[in-house]
Amino acid sequence: MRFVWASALKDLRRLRRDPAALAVWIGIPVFVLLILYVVFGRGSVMPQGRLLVADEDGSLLSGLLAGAFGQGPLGKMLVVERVKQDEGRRRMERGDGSALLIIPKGFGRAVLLNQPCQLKLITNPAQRILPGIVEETLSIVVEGAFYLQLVAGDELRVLAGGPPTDQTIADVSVRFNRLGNSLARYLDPLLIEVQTKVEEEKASVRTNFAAAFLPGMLLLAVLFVAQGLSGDFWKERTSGTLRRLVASPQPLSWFLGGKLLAAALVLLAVALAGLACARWVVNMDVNYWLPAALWITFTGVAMFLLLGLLQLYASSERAGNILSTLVMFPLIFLGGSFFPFEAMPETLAAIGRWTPNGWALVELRSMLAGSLDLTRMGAVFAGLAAVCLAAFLVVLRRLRRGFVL
Amino acid sequence: MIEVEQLRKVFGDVVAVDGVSFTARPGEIFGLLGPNGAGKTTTIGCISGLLTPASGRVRVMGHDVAREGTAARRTLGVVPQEVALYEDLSATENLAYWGGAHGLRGGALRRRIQEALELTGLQDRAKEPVKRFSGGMKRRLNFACGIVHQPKVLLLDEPTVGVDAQSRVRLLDLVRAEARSGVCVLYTTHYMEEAESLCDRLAIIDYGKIVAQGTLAELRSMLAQRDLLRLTGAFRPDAARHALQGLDGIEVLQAEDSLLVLALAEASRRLPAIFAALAAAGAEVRGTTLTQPSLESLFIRLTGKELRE
Repeated sequence: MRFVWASALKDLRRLRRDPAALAVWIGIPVFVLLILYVVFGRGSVMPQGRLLVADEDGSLLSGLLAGAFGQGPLGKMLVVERVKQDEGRRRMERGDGSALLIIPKGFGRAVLLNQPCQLKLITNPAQRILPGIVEETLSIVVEGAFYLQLVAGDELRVLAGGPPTDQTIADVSVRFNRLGNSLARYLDPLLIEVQTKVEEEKASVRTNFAAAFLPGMLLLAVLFVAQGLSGDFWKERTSGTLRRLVASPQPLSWFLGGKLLAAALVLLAVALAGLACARWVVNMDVNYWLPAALWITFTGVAMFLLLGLLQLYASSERAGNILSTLVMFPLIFLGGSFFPFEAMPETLAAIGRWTPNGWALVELRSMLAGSLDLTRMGAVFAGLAAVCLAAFLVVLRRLRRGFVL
Repeated sequence: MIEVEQLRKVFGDVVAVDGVSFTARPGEIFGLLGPNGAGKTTTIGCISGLLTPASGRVRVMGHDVAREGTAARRTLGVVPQEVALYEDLSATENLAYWGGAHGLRGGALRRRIQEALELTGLQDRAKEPVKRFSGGMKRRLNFACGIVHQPKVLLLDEPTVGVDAQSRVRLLDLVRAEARSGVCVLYTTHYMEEAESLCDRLAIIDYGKIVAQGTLAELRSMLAQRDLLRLTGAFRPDAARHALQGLDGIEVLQAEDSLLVLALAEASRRLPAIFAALAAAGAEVRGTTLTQPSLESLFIRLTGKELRE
C-alpha cells in the first residue's frame, strides 16, 4: 500500500510543477461562469420575450388589454409591440416573437354587450415559458371580463350605445358609485389580507443565478479535471515510465490506485474550493457541504476512470484526447453543466438527467438545497462505487494487456 | 544469473525472437550484439516480464519469469533504451520513486539515492527538474534509476544510443563497476567497439536468431585469423566469384555490383593476384580497405551484411 501513496505523491508533485494545466481545467468553467453572470446575473434571470399585438379593434378596451401585458412584472418579461395582423403572422413564421395576439374588430363592443368574441393567440412552439405566461395572462383577463359583466353588465351596456352624452356619463358615474358602495363591505376592510415580503433584489438575483449555474459549473470543472488527468496514462506510456514500472515488482493495480488517489485529492480540493466560493463569494445556500464535496469527488473519480478507459482504448494520445473530448462535450451540454435543465426543452432535459454528469448534478443540487435522504444516498453511493470498481478493473485489464507496449 | 532457453516471441506474422538460448553469469557482462530489429529489445522484454514469450523459458536468479514474475523482477534492474523518467520531477524524486518501486524506503533509500547520484555525477543537479537536463545527463539518471535498488541482474538496452562521447565513457565505466561488484549484466548494443571493449561474452543475434556466441577470443577464432578485404568498383558478381574461386583460401562473403567483401589470410601479400584475377573477369577495382579480424568482420561473415545503425 505504501507504493499507492508514493504513486499518488508522484502524480501530485508532477501536477504542482505544471500549474498551467490545472489552471486551464478550472479556469474554463470560471470564465464561462463569469460570462454567464455578465449576461444574466447582473440584471435578472427572468427571460425576456416579444409579444406582438394586432389590434384590429382600436377601441379603449382593446388598448387596455394590450397594455395589460406591459404592466408590473410582466413588463419586465415581455416587450409588447403593436403590429398589423399580416406582418405579425409573417414574423411569427420566422420565429421573431414569443406570441401573436389578434384582437378582432368589434372586441370592445362585444365585451361591453356581453357578446361572444374570439381572441386569437398564436404562440411560438420553439419557446415554452413566455408563450405559456401570455396564454395564462390572457385567460385571467378573459375571466376578469366575465366577472366584470356579472357585477356591472348593465352599466357597461349603457356605455356601448354610442358616444355618451353628459347625462349618460353622469348616470353611469352614479351607478358605479352605488356599485362601489355595495361592494365596499367586501373590500373595506379587505376580508383577505395578503402579506407581501419583498426580499432584497440584488441578493435574490445573485442567489438565483448561483443556484442555477454554479453546481453545473462545479461539475464542469470536475469533468475538465477528470479529462486532463485521464490523459496522463498516455504521458506515462510515451515517457517509457509505464514500461519501467512493469519491470518492477509492484503490481499495476497499486500504480492505478495511486493515480486514483491523486485524482481524488485534486477533485476534493476543487470541490471544497468551489463550495466555499458558492457559500462565501456568491452567498448561495450550501447545505450538506461535506457530503456534497464527497459526492463531487466520487463522481469525478468515476468520470476519470470512464474517460481513462476511452484514452486507453484509443490508438494514440491524440486519438485519446479527441475521443474523450467528443464524449465529454455532449455530456457537458446535455448534462446541465452548461445550460441548467430548467432552460432546456423538457425532452432534452429528461435525456440530460440520465447522463452520468446530469445524474450527478441532480443529486448535487438536491443536497445543496437541503435534501439528504441517507438511505437513498447510501444506495446512490453504493451504485457509483460499483461503477467505479467495474471501470477500475477494465482499466487495469487494459493496462496489463496491450496498452503498455 | 539469467538463463534463457529456446525463447520464441511472435508478433502477428513476424517472428521477433526465434529459439534464443544463452546464459549470463553473476559478475559477467554478457553482450547481445545485433542490428536494429534483430530481436535484442524483444529478448530483454521477455526477460523483464514486459512481454510474454510464445514458448521457451526464462529464469532470473533461479526464478521462472512466467511463474514467479514478482520474485524475478525483485532481483532485476532495467535501463531501457528510451529515457524513462518523469521530466517534471527532480533527479532525487525520480530515484526515490523507482527505489520505492523496488521496496527501498527510509534511510536505506536516502543512502542509495545519494550513492547513485554520486556514481553518475549528478549530485550537483539533484534538485533540478529533469526537463532541464542535457541528453547525456538524462541517460546517466536513466542508468541511476536502474541501479538505485542494487539489483543482482542488470538489463541494459542500448544505454548509450545518442549519448555524447564523455557520457558514453562514464556510462561504460559504471557498467564495468556494476559487473565488478558481482552483478550479472546483460548488455545489448549495435556498436561493435562497445561490445568488444565491454563484454566478457557475446551473442550475435540477427533476425531473431543467435548466429554465434562465446568470448571475444572464441568468436575471433571463428574467423581463423583471416583479414577482411573490401573492394569497391564495378563488378559482375557471378564473374567475380568465378574468377576468385581459382585462388586458394579466399572466401567471398559479399558480392554486389559495386562491392566485393572477401575473407582471406595475409591479404596484403595476395592483393596483386586478386587484382589480376578480377581484371581478367572484367572487373574494375577503385578502392580497397583491409581490416584485421574483428567482431565486425565476424558479423559480416556470419550474416553476409554490415552492422549499421
